[in-house]
Amino acid sequence: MTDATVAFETWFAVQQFLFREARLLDEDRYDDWHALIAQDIHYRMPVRRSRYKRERRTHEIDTDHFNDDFGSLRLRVERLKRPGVPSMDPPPRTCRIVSNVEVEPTATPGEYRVHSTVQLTRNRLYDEDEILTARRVDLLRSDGDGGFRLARREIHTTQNVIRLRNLNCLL
Amino acid sequence: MDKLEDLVRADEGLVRREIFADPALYRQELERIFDRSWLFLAHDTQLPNVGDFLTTFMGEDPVLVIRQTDGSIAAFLNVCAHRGTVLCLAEEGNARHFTCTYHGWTFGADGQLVDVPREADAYYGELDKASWGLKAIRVESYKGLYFGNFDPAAPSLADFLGDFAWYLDAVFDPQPGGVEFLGGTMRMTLRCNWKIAAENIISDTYHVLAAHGLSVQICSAGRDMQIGVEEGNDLGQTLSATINGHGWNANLDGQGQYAIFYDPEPWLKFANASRPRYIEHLGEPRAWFVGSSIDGGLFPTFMFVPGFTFRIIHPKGPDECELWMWTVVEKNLPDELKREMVRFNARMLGTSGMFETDDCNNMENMSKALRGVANRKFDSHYAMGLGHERYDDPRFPGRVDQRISDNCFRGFYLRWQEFMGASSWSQIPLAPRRVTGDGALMQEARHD
Repeated sequence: MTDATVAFETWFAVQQFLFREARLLDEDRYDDWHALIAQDIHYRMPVRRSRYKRERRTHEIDTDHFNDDFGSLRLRVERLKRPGVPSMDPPPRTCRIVSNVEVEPTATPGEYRVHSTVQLTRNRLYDEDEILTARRVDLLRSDGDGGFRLARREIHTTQNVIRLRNLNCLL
Repeated sequence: MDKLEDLVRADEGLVRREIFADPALYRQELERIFDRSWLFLAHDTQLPNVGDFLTTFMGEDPVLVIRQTDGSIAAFLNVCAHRGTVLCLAEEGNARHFTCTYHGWTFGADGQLVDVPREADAYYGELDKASWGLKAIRVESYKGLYFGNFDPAAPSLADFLGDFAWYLDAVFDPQPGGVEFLGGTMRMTLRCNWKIAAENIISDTYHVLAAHGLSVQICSAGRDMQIGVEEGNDLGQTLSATINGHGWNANLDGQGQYAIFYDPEPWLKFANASRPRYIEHLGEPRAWFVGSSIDGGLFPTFMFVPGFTFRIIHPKGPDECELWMWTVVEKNLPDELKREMVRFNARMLGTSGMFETDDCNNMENMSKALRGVANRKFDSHYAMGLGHERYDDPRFPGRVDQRISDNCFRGFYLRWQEFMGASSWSQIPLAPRRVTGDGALMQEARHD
């Protein structure tokens, strides 16, 4: 636990937001999901590395599996919802389990740093069954109407070599 | 198993599907292709400082690549000389020496065995350390790209590339300054034979229409720019070229690479401003490859789609391989465009790519369909453009055809057959050369 805490109601509302967001993706309601993100969103899944603990080298420009903004997420959503995309039609069956939700206040009123974990179980085509697990750090912004917008998301998957058959999945 | 001459009939454009599935053939590939081809290890810019190292594979053998104190690049089998466990467990870093986690033998960055626990008493000071260093691998470079070869009898990297370097220059040396590899490595497992992943880039422009048509439509946002798959593009406007099994498929409009970029404008501006230097450096018509849509690669596993992906394919058994992908840009590209290229590569032909994921689906389904036995007995069709290739084009070296052609597939699989059938390098032919020292072409066509 951090020292700073938020009201129980805020924690509850954030959790409901994350659950709902996961369900929209599981139900292939991509437009509804896109409506939950902020115009200035930065959506990232950095590559992981298997390095010695002593290693300090950083890359000024680094690589991400995802590094998207509002517009590029729109392109992804357009593609995911269209019939006929080879890797998404027939569509996979997915279930996202969201857990370990922690909410921290930030210096900006109405903005919260949110830690959570997500496990995606995906079954695709005839019999392909696979799991991807990740930790997430989000920035959620109150929309002034009891809800939130997703303004930043960092997804840290446990996989170094991506073993999932494709990353056609928003997390 | 069928005979090698039945498995690949390049002159008919036929390849038996058995070669994508058979474990015995896979084992033979490791011995006859991966144990004696020049395989990509690293680019100069991935190891900027003395002691920088990365670990990779040549075939399925683990390899350690290290920047030496004299600035050169050395490569070793990443295996402790003592008992053969993997020596360096990290994928990258900086180190002066490497200590085995099993018995503690320690090797310098130059591969020499420098320290052995209990050397004086348990070994009675009798261990000949000089002969128990790491197994060194032959390393040669082309334009900042380092390649390794396990076979001392292999020809030089320059001979292995042959006239294909004339094309490669347009990607790796378009103007003074060259290119750099940016950031880290995207890695993913593919459940398909390595050749399926290789042929997709080394020759297959044709698939873009069907496999990526929807994504092209979504990403081009109504812009009317050619991406390389349009009808009516004859040789000269477009091109496929194969030399020594390597493949090059390209347009010559100097701009098609950017057609489906998020915002093509700054890229076109950079390319247009650089064009005089491209022309001065590469000459006509070569300079017009830069900025054009290109897909190609080196036999067997180093592939590129400039602007989208650079990658190596590591074989992992007859029906699995691994893709390691990098972003490569011209060094003098503005920083903001470098950052945009990294983002864009991930989004298009990266692990989460709107194009890549459809490729993976198609490629994995090819291997999936080979679990049985009936399908393995049939031939796949690689006969598009068969009989329409030429060797004597005044502008382009190698065997060439228009871009939408199975020309480079046939070159790749003929090369596969040549390697698989040869017991030593002396039996593997090298294509005759037409390119002269200054990049000009000798008019006389020379081919066997």
